[in-house]
Amino acid sequence: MRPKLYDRQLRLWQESGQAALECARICVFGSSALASEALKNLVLPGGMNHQRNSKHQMYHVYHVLTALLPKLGIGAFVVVDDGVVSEQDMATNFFVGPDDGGKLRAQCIVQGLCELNPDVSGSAVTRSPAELLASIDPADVQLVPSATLVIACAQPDSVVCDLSRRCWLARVPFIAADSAGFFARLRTSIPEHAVVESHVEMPFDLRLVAPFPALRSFIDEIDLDALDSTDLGHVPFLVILTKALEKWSLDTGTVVGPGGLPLAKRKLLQRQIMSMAPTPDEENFTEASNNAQQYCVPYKFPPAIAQILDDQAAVAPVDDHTKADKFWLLVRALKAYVQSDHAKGALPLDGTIPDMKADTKRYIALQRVYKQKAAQDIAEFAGHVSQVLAAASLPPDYISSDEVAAFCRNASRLRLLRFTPLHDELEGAPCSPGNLVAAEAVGHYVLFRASNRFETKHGRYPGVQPETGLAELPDADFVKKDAEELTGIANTMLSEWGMADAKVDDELAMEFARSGHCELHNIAAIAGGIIAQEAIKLATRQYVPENSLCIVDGVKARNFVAKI
Amino acid sequence: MALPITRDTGISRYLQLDAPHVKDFELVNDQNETPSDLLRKAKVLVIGAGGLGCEILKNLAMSGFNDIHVIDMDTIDISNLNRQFLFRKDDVGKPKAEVAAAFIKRRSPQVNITPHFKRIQEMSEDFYLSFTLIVCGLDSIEARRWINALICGLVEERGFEGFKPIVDGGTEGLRGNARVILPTVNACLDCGLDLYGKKTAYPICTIANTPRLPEHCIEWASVLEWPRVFPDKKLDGDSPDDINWVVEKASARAAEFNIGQISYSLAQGVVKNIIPAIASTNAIVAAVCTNEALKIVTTCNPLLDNYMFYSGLEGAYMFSFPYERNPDCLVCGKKEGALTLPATSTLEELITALKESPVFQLKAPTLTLGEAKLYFQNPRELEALTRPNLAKSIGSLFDSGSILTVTDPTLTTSLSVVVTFTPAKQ
Repeated sequence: MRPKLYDRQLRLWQESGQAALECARICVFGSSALASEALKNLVLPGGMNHQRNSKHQMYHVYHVLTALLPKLGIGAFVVVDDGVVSEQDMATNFFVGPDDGGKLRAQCIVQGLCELNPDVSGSAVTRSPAELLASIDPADVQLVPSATLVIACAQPDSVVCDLSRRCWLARVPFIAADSAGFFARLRTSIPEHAVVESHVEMPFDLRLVAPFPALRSFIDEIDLDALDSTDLGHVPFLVILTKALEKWSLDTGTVVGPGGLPLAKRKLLQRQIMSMAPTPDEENFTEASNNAQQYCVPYKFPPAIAQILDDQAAVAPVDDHTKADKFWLLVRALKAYVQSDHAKGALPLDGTIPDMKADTKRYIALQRVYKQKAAQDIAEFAGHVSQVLAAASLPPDYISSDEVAAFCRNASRLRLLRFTPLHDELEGAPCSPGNLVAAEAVGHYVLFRASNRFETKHGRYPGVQPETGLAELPDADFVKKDAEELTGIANTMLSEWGMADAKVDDELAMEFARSGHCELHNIAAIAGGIIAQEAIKLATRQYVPENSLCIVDGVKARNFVAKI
Repeated sequence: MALPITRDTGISRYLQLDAPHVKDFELVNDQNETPSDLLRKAKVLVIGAGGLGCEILKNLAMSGFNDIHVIDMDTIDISNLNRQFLFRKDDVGKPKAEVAAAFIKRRSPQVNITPHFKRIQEMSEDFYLSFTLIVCGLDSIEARRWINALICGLVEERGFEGFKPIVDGGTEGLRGNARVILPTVNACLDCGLDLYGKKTAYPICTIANTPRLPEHCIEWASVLEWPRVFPDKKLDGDSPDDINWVVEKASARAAEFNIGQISYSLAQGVVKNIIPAIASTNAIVAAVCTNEALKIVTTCNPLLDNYMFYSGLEGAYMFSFPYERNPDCLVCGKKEGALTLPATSTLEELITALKESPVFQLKAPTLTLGEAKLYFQNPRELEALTRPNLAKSIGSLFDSGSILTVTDPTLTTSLSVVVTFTPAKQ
């Protein structure tokens, strides 16, 4: 049942990712359409499974949040909000029902969401996030450690800052999101997020320039001159390419430089390859020629991985976190591996080769050459892992052999993301304003910030009627006046951040004022989809999350992303 | 001008307040209709009630659309439940369109929603003419091409009356795309046919003679062995018995050739050409589509021009760009294809070229030359009568530069293809 139910997603993140997702415990502050839509996409794939989470762990979150309220049903996700269902909610929030007007909104959406997947359970804490957080000592980081992920949807800056600070201390990933009409904003904040199974697409690691010994003998054992034309048509292209390159280097005295062969020389090599072919359109020789650019390149150590190996945490563990963190222990072992005589400065081979025109026997034999080398690399690496664990006084099975092998296979795809704290940003300026400019995101970003400052000042968002609130729409002049004030605030903020050169576009400010900071269902659904994708990436530690700001522009149907 | 102002429920702001990004936004048009009237009157057809379709239906209902039709020929499978959130375990086996429509009706009783448990090809031209716009959430390129060809044809036949914008979405894993097609105004679906890429095709000689991958063994079992052993039974990718048979045969072949393991999941994936699908990606793409549908009907913000691409593989990347019209498009361009082949090619090779060429991607082409029937896919008698032509060289059947008339299930009208001969290879 389960493999069938989850078939379409297991093809993306396999059993390991599914297990991580099912073990996730997610705490959501807010229950508007944005929260509903995000949670929907996490409940459907079976995240937050109640059987996978011990009552004790979840009770802890719940216990702190409810501040000793009587025990109710304890689920693996918790929604915190004291809002009641309004007409606006019934129009935009799919997970409240047509008869739910006036009921507690958090309870309504938890019920609607739980119907989506019987394996998942959730519960509502019907208290105001601000009041609830105020009742818990800010120094009490106990709030979040038992949650895997915390999400704040459409919450005021004060709540976002408070949560961000607690999550940062507890090293729990935090996503804050809100929307204003056709625009939405997402920001992820966690000190560090390391990804082993990044699924980053990379060219195959074939090492044709300077082949390893087993590949060397495989290539040498094939004598092209001794083969008849049928057999020649079945030689794997990488044998042809390596032989042609080596002969050509010898004949012309050309050494392949670090960037590969320059175009003119590559053309000569390609001509030589085709001249060796028994017929002008022999597929494997064409493959050899077509792949000359990609694979006639000496091994290059990936700069992103070099940076990880040189990181302070890899050189000397600086705090309690890095001392026992599996990722950093493995990185330290990888560093030792790379410096070993076995590795000669290269990363472990992942052992995969592309499909290519070849007869079965030779292809399988070639595949085995690569797989065996990869297995040897894993064995060597595992030795270094044991030493690192021993040096750190950790048990030898602290990291399982599966984890060691997975790390080794993905060694050239590791990704390390470091974020800046969201609370510091909201209480001051963005850390890297230059990145905002480069991403063309300044206008949207500052208008979101300015809208909040406007709200603090006036007790209402731009474009919203005072007094009557949502009961009546403002007129055009009123919206225009608010847009002008919003522009003024935005320009002031830019000056405060030393970004006075950037100016806010009037039309964009008008569009913000026009929105009245309302939630539109479509935009909530887009942002909810992105929140869920990011949450899945963070929880499964597979694929690469955005670092760190993402602004959705529904007017232009595009995102603006920047590391800030 | 002072208009009656109604309550602020979010969307109403966009229907009643000036649009800074739209030059000629009209709060009342020359027919005395407000954007709210346009939204209420719009009749939308949703094609597909699957992963994207469920999202699209929800979004339209929650955006103020009032008259929604949904068409889908499928019934609910257990593997749909991880993303098609309008369905429950008890619904397995029931028609998707009907269950989805009933759910939406329960949640939003004010919306008129009409299900059609039908194939799109079963509906009349008048049916399609009755809609304001069409939103597609399909997983088949063939169905997309069919509806695209039909709608492009309607504009040409009937002018503005036949003008039906199409919003189309598609997803694969963490990636997806959405496009707005204004027939004969911007690129149609066939203009960018090469964007869709082709199903991974394994050469038959590899499958038969030199398998190297587990996939080759699965193709051997399902494409070559199955029809040989069960000539009268179609392989059913959803039948555990059938897939287990494939796994067994493919495993034996893999063992014979020292190729890796064949799992049930891999075998089913290859047989059914399964594309990974998750709720979150569907949510993003469907909402981009319905956001555009809202803009098309109300003009409250500028339209996507005309192609949006999303990828969550690394970061949260969403980009849009204008995909150019193709003047040579077989559907909205000059409607004439060209093919160059050696005169010695057989008619069968020509048919293969029409199937495999990225420009044509036809499924089962029938060929005529003037009155002469070159090859007919059906009825059976005509197929038998014209089958001998398949082995003949095209040089013996017609001259270089001949214009063949081609019909195909992916096209709603016939297509002219100019076949030019190249000198045969030595």
